[in-house]
Order: sequence, then C-alpha cells, then structure tokens
Amino acid sequence: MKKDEYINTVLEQVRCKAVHEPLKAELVSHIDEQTEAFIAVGLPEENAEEEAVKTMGDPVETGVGLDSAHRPSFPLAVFLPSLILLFTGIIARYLGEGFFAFPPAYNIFISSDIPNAIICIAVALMFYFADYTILVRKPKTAYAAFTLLLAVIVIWNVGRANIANVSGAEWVTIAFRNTLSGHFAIYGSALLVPLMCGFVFSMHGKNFKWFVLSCFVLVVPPALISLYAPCLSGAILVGIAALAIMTIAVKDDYFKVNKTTAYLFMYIPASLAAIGLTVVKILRNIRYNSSTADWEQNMIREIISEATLFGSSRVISTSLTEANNSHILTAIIAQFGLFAGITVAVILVLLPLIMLIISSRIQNRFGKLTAFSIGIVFLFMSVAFIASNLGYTTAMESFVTAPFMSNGIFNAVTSGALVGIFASVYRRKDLMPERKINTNRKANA
Amino acid sequence: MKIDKGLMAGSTGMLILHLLAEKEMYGYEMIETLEKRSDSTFSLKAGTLYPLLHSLEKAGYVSSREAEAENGRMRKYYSITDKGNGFLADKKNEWSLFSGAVNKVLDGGAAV
Repeated sequence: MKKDEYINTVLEQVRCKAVHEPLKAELVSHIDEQTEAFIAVGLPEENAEEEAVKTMGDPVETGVGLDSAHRPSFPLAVFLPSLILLFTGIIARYLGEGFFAFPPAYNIFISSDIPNAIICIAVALMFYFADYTILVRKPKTAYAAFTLLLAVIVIWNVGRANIANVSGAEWVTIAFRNTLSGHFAIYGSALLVPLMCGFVFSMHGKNFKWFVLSCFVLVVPPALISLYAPCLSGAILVGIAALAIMTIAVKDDYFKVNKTTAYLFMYIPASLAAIGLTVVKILRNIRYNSSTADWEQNMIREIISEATLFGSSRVISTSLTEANNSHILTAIIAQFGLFAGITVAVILVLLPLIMLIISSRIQNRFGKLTAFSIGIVFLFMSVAFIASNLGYTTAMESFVTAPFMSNGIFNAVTSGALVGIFASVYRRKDLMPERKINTNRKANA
Repeated sequence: MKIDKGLMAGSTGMLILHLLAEKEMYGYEMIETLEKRSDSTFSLKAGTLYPLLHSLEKAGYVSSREAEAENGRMRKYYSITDKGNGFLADKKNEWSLFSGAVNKVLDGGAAV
C-alpha cells in the first residue's frame, strides 16, 4: 500500500474533519521517519516507503481508534448554567408580572421572551458548529469593520437622542434611544472581544512598537465609542478585556518584547485609571449621597436590607426600574428572598469561573486566548450586574445586564454568540494546532 | 517471542506514560525506545500507538507541542502532565499487585 492510500483510508474513518490535517501531518512524519530508517539499513528506496507503511498496521483499525479519540467535545459544564440562567430569567419575569411597575413596553418584552430564548440557543449552536479559527482569517479587517460599525450605530443613536426642548412621550422615546446607545456600546464591546483576540494573534512575532500599537488599537477606539454613548462600563469592559488578552499574549510570547517592560507599560496606566475611577466614584458618593441622584441605589439597598431568606421582602418598591432586565436580581430577591437571589448570583459567577478553569486547560494558544477572554467578559458582566443589583452602582450608570438572564434580543444574541464561540474552541480544544491556524492565515494572506 | 495482544492491551498506556515520564518524545521515538528496551518483545504498531496517544491527550494525561526537528521535519512531541503522573503511579501500583498475585499463583501460591 502506498503512503497516500494508507493516509486516505485512515482519514476516511475519522468523522471530525478539523483533525484531518494535523493527523495527516503526524502520520506522514512517522512514515517518513521509518522510510529513512529502512533506507539507512540498506533497503532499496523504492521498497522502503511501502515497507514503512506496512509497519503502521491496519489503516481501518487505526482510523476507527482515532475517530473514537476525536469525538467532538460538548461543554455541558458551560451550557448547563447558561440554560439555567436563561430559563430563570423567563420564569422570574413570568411570576413577577404585575409585581413591579415594569416599563410600559414590558408586555412586548414578555411576549418575546421565548423567541429570544430560541434565538439565543440557535446563535450559540451556530457558533458551536462553526470553526472559531475564522476569527484569524481577516483579523485586522474584521476588527476594524466591527469597530466602525459600532461607532456608526452609537453615533447615529446619540445624535437622535437630544433630549433638550422635548417633553412627554417624545422625551420617553428619545430617552429610550439614549439607553439603546448605551446597550449597543456594552454588547458591542463584549462582541468585539473575540475579534480583539484575532487581532492580537495576527501580531504574532512583532516587536515592542507593534505591541504598543496593539494596546492602543485594542483600547482607545472602542473605549471612546463607549464613552460617547455614554456607557462607562463598556469602556471599562474593553480596558479589562484588552488587559487580560495582552497579558496572556505577552506571557505566551506572542510579541518579541521585554516582558517586564511590557507589563509595566500596561499595568501602570491601567492601575492609574482604576484609582482615578474609584476616586471619582467616592467623590460622587460624598457629593450626592442621599440626594435624588441616588434614589434608586438607596431604594435597592432598602429592599435588600429588608429582604427575608425565603419569600418576599418587607419593602417592595413598585418604582424599581428595569426589574425585568438590569435589576432582575433585585427583583428576584424582593419577590422570592435572599436564598433565591444568592443561588442565582452564585450561578452567575460560577459560569465565568468554569470558563476560566476550562480555558486554562486548552492547549492551542489562540483557542486559550479566545476562551479566556470570553470568560473575562462574562465575569465582568456578572460582577458588575450583581454590584448594580445590590445597590453599589446604578443600572443606568453601567447598562450591564445579566448574561442570559436579562431579557432583550441584544442580550440573547450577545450571550449566545459568546458562549457559542467558547464552545467552538472547546469542541476543538485538542484538535486545532496553531500550524493549521497559521496555514489558514497564509492561505488568506 | 511475540506477546499475546490481549496481555499487551492493558499495559501499553502505562508503558507509554512511563517513557514520557523520563522525557518528551515523538511517536516514532516511542516505538523505537519501547522495542529496544524490551529486546524487541514489545513491537508496537503505529496504528495502535496514535489512537492511544490521542486518547491519553484527551484525558489530560499527556500534552503535545509541535516543533521542527534538525532535519527540518515537523514533529509532534508528547510529554506527561501532572495528572498523567498521578495516573501512572496508580497504574504501576495496580500492575505490581497484579503481577505479584500472578507470580504467587504460578509459583504454587500461598499455603492453604
């Protein structure tokens, strides 16, 4: 049997196409080593390869064994908490109808809960079955195009949301549009993160100048868009995700830089920004404490402090805004008690922690980078959402909703897409060596 | 003398992990080393080795990396993980218990 015939017969048995190329390379390398060894001991060159193939054994048996070793993995540990959160949100909204003063449009949202859940699951499965390495096909173009699209959407929305000189119904419409630009900024920033990974991967092997440029490109344009929205949490999310991505990139030698210098370059400005934001927050709290600006935070704190372990809180305010969305955890605590709220909060934090643990075990560097950054996005969203629902930040200040749990099509698509990309990485976690990604990049160059 | 495949099946994983506990190796090197060390008693087919290696990798007992060899050929090197070391220790204990018991029986067994 010839080498090609042997390889083809082996690969015919392996259903997972993603693994074909690396498997072929490994088997060809083995046959070539054996062929050279036979030639070295005096076997004629024309017979050496055929003899080498004979030593490989039965190709069908080998293929079946490899097929069994490469059954695609399904990350149940990630999908299960995601589904629990998705259905917890729907159930909480269903049971909470009439319990809180929901926005006038609430009934429309309630009716779209199931369609949104179906869209969320469909998007997750679509990305799961897609090959995540598409992110490195045209990484710079994809990153630039998405950032530009986000800028256009946000600027267009903000431009139409001038609330001066309007009142009544018109004010509500414009205020909604203003909120919409904030939501676009936060969800857009979250969806931008996998593209950031592709961008950084395309900078592989570059020097310090390109490292600095990458930091700038990753942080400045999307952060400015979020701040223009205005959505501070979008800018913070971009900063944290970029910091995590670049830290891994430096640690894993993506860039040819002095690691200490690179870390200092990233962490000094990041620390200063964090200190600055904390100081502003403290000063703001001193300035506005107990004023109407913080009425919602004070109300949430009162609901939480008067909550019982099981059953409804002693204080329930029908004025709680976004009880179906940004404040759904507060609503759950108010209606069902602290135990239910804590359980939901634990699942919300557990999901990204599971993602981060899984990503640490992924062998392929790009897969690891992508999976880790998605874990960071969910961790930020969950922590910011919980903080807002415990009265530490205002929902309008953060625009952060709970992954899967809060309602709305944006949340459904964003949560589904990110979990789907994570699952796509997991599906191929042992199968996708960087050589294949590099081959794709060269082929598309 | 060739060994019955059934006898080999249960212990091949342990032998491969033992080799990898010494140093990282590529597939061809593992077959060669195993054959030399066993005086050609263990002649492992590549078709048996690779499915086994890939299963061990999926289970997290070994990890792999690709590197260019001196001859310019790309090789996939395997190394044992911490989890693999723990698994190997268990398998060695199991083997020691099993082979001791078999030898006892073959030697006439403990007095009844």
